[in-house]
Amino acid sequence: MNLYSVAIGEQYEIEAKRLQKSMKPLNVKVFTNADVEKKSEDNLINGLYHKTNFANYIDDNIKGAIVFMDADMFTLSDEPFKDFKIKSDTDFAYVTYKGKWHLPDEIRQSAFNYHGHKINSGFMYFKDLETARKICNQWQYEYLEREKLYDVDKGTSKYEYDEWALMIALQKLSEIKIELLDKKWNNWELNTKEEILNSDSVFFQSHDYLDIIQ
Amino acid sequence: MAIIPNNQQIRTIDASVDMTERGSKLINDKSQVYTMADFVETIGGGALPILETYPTTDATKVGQNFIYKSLIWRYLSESEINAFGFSGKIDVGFPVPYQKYLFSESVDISGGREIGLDIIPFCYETLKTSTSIASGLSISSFNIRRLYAGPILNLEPLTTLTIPFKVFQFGSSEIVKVIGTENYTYLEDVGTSISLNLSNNRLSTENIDYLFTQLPSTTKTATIDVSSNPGSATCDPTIATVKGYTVVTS
Repeated sequence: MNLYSVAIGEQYEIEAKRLQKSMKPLNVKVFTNADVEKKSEDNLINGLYHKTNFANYIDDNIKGAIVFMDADMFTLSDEPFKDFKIKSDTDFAYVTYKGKWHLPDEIRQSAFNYHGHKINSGFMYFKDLETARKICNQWQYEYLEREKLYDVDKGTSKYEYDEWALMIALQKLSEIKIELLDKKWNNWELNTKEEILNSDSVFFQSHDYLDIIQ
Repeated sequence: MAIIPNNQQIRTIDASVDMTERGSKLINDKSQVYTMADFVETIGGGALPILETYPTTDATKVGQNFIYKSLIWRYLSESEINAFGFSGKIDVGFPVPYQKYLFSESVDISGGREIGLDIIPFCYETLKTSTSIASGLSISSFNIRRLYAGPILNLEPLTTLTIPFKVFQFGSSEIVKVIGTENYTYLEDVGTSISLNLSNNRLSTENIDYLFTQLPSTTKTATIDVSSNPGSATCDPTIATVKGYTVVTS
């Protein structure tokens, strides 16, 4: 399995170092400003764009499954992928947000209704590089289309982040076989250090606790 | 040390009265007139200083409390700044409202105790009532009457009934009604923190719809989570979505 992350900006690079440290001896390739061209003057949009396009920064000769992790993700497990099992015909897998979402615009509401859940893009499995590029090519396109609606469409701004664009992209890639993962593969909701340390989840996300990995 | 019995009465004399004993130097030499200020100084504690102008950072007053606009404030220490998660963002001695809550009224109802609270959060981005409210209380309603920003970085004083907070996280609680949401003019999702998280409370359909109805329209990305409430599945989220909000129900 090939592990990747994107860290555009100094703070994200610091967080990505924690990710890499937590994953040792497994290697996580992190794409930074040095690896990409600026796409937007807005730091948030620029960073998220490169996340949506990450598969196109991977070497062509990479074989096997691809796993993407957000830069602020980390694990406390010695063998985080020991129990990671994916069905043989799955193309793309992720953890979902809970709840039924009601959006102020038809585009995002349609995407939610199509999937029946909101996708959390912090931890994503792709069957192989070809699959990752197929999804990312559509995802980055849809992300740039969403950008045109920021502060124009009701309740729409750059703070919707990247996930709605991914959901819209997958509506148009109906052949992609999707599997939903257990929350333990991305328990992003835990807030306190105590909750994280006492959890049996595999991966967490937090901009805090940069020294949690000793 | 003598202890004055609780039922004793003390008659005070106005400061304008001359307490000098005219007839006896001996009595004057062996007596001392004390004022109430002397009592306070003797007993200890004393009144908090009252500031008339907006406070500024003062590292020499770390740990000291004072009053500004009828609220208790405090000059934060380094450990307090770190505990609030503002390390590197504000300096030692930064003044913040430190009074976490005031009880406005208490009404006993059958089956429980209903308490209305004026919640005065001091954290700019998040409010956690689970850490602000004393244990053992069942919070059935709250009314945000007055708020003052905590460690905001521009140091602008705020007007009453303006709620500058972008994110409210209430955690799991017993809230059955939220009023005053017409003042929520700054709601906005911040990172993975949604604007208004009221999941896992006791909000009925009627009270969720009431909350939605009172909210002002928004042009920002602002998400309201009312999942896992009794009224989650039967409320009308379109009341809020038509105003620009994203709503999460069960």
